[in-house]
Amino acid sequence: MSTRSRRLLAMSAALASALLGTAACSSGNAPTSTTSSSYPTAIAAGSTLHIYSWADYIAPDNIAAFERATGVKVAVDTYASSEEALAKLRLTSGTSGYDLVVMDGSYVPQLVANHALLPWDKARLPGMKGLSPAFVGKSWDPTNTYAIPKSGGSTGYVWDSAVLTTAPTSWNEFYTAFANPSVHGRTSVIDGAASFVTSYFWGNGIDSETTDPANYDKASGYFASTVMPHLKSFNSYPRGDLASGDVVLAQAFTGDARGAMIDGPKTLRFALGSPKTDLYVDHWVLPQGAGNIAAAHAFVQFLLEPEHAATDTLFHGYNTGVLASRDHLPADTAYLDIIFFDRGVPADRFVTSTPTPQTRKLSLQTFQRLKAQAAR
Amino acid sequence: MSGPRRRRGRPGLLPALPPLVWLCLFFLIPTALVAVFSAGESTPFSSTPVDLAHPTLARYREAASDTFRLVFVNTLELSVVGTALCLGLAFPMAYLITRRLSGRWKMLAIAAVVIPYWMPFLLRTYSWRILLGDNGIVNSALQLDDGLGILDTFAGAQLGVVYNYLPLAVLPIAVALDKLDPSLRWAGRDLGASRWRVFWQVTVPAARPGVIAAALLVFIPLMGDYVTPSILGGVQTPVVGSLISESFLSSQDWALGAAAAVLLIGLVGAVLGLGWVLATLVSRLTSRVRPLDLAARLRPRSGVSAPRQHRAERDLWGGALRVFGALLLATLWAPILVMVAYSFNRGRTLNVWGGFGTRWYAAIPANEVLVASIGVSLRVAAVSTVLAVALGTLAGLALARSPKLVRGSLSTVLLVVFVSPEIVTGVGLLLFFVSGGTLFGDGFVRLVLAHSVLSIAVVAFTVRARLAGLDPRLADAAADLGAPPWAILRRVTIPLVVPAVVAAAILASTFSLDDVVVSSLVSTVGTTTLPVYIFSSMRNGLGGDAATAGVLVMWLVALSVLALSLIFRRRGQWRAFADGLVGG
Repeated sequence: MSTRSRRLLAMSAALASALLGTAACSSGNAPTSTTSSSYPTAIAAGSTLHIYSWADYIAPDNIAAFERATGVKVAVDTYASSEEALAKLRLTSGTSGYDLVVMDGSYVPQLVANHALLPWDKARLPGMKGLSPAFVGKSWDPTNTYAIPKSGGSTGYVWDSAVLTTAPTSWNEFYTAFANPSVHGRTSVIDGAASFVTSYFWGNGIDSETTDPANYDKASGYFASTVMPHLKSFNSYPRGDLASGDVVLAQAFTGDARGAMIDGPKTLRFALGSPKTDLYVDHWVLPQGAGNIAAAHAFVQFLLEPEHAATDTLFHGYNTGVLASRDHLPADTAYLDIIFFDRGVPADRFVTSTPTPQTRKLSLQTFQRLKAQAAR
Repeated sequence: MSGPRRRRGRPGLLPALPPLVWLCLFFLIPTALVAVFSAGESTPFSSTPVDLAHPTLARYREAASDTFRLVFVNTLELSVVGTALCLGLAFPMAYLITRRLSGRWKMLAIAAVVIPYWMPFLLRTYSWRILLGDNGIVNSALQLDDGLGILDTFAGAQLGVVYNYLPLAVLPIAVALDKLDPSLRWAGRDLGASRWRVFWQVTVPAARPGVIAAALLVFIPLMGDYVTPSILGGVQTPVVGSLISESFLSSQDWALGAAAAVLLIGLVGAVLGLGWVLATLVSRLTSRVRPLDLAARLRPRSGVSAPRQHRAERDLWGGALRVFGALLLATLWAPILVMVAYSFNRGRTLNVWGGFGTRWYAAIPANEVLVASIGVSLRVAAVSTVLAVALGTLAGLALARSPKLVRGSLSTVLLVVFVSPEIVTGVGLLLFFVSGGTLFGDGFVRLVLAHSVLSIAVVAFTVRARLAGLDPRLADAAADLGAPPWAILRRVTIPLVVPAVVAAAILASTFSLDDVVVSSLVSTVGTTTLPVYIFSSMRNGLGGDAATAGVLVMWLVALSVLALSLIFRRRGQWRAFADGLVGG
């Protein structure tokens, strides 16, 4: 590069930094000065609680009951992906306007480092005591200072037992089954590096946050020969395809698998990934600049109460982590064992991921290379 | 003609100014911010997303990988073939609408082409899965053992993109053909030219600006689209748009994402340049060789009886055209009718029929988030369309009439807007709005500004397609007769462009109603749009409520447009608006 273009680049870089600086400054209060005990405690009836979440992710009955009990209006906005919400919270810290946000646990460390979150006043959340040990104290927030579990799931495989007669009992058996002629072209895996590439590490005793390129080469070679020639599509939510019968063998999240089994052929089966699999938990986080902090605490505590947690589970089909909620669910609730996927499973089966930028880069590179090579 | 008169009659820089300023402010500055990221290193864990302290070109080396090359070639193939197919299908359709239909039939045909595109993008694309799946409607009807084999293949993606981008080709071509005076064609025939000769030397040149606009409007967004291929293309169709989006989102590597985006913009620019050179060469060659003259010389003249014979041929041709049009419309409507039918699906999973019921219609009023999102989408679409049409019409005017330098810079900016991946525009606008503080604090304002930027280009190119072939001396004549510039605009130019403006408004509204990424990023409290809601609901299984909302929105928009055209028609001075739709 010539000196002049270097200088030009440096100048534009400085300009962009300056503008970014303005963005950061305009985001208001200094991030570290807040302590959770200084939050207002009075819940203002007539105020609005602005929640930012996935669509259809909080039971309307719970929202209505909370509104009746407190006089607070709950307004929900939805995001198209948690990564977009992450980008938004990060850039707008303090001005997003939301009071309460649902955020995937694996992004919590980054948001904390970005000074985008406020700590919770856990004294106001006595319901936390009732949470499953599988959901609390995880690597993304070991003290649950910034993130309170909302609901979670894990990853496994769904197959149609009428087509594939031997049940896969591990990731390796699952992927080996792709070569079975009866499932050819009727398979899918999750469209995300963190679920697909990493499942090789779960299956083969490799640290899921490895930064050794050799491990990614191994994963890449394995998938290129075992999976890619028989794969129909990358699909994060194969529920519809499984239910219609177009797909008979798929990597799937627990909630999606359960949905497929409820609406699809009765021969569909699900098993949790083995020997290891992931645990993903969506959390309640308080964004920097949240206005209605008292109502946010009250709402989260409201949902931690077992009967409300049960109502939520019935609505969205996910485990809220509230152990006692199971007693409030009707006995005929479909596939209870998939909802409470962690029951009777040793805690060390679940890997929580807090990937470093390096891990993410390697994982995505591997994923994209595999996809590119599958191009016609 | 003397100099001053020219200046009085023809616009200079003036009409280009508002759109240029608008796009500089709400596109170039925000996007340049993101482009600069490509010279840094991503720092996801710091409060600034990219460290720019040590400018480097390393991200470009990283972005220009084998992966990128493979995927780019794949995307290019999808887009070139997709554009060619779109043009091939759109031209006869536009010809049928503008030259063979009139009055009520013409309006019905236009409505039939346009209305499907007010159905949210995700739903009308997903509908093909219900139609073409191994256990889908078509296959169940045909009872094929192995399935159709279209879904989740490159062909599936190709079908999806042609379907999704077709109106972007039909409308500009129709708008260009519509201005062709039929008497020109009769004059050609009377002077002894054959049917083919009139077609190639009168009709095609008139359609040319429309075809060029259509090619740009289809090819460019196609190079960035990754939703259609991901829904219908399976593993065979990796595309560049998803590479860039994944870098920004799933690995939070904004520097790499920005470098890949700049690379894509450059490459698409190069492809367009190449296309332009090729097109120029071909047109030079044909004007030298004059293949039609050669053909005419080789063929013996058919004498006096010829006209009757031609008329018989033409009717045959017209019948074939009508059959083609009916088939194309049936294809356009098939996925829409499937969505309408499945909105009455009592089951929870959209694509699995669980019996007839109005459960989802009954559930909509209680779903506050959904109802609010429909309201937001409709309001944003209405206001942003008006803005985009105003600015885009001026831009189109400038593209057709302003001096070369103005035209060049304006079309460059418009192309860059159009080429830029949505994620880049979205992140840039969010940065820009946040640094603007309370000035851009309102989510509705942000969405309107963002959507107006996304649609200006489509309006500009459509309006240009209309004006490019019209005689610019009409304005000069008005000036010579003493009309002031404002009166020229109102009395001469606007009536001439009205059909194009109406077509452009329709396309702009579909852009607004389809946008997901930018809307999701820039919206604030209370401004979730319907497409964002529908995308979000995929996580818990796409259900009947989304389909129902999509169907309702489609009819709501269609009825509002119908109402608007009736109101305008009743008010005499705006007759032109209704004529634009009906083709008066």
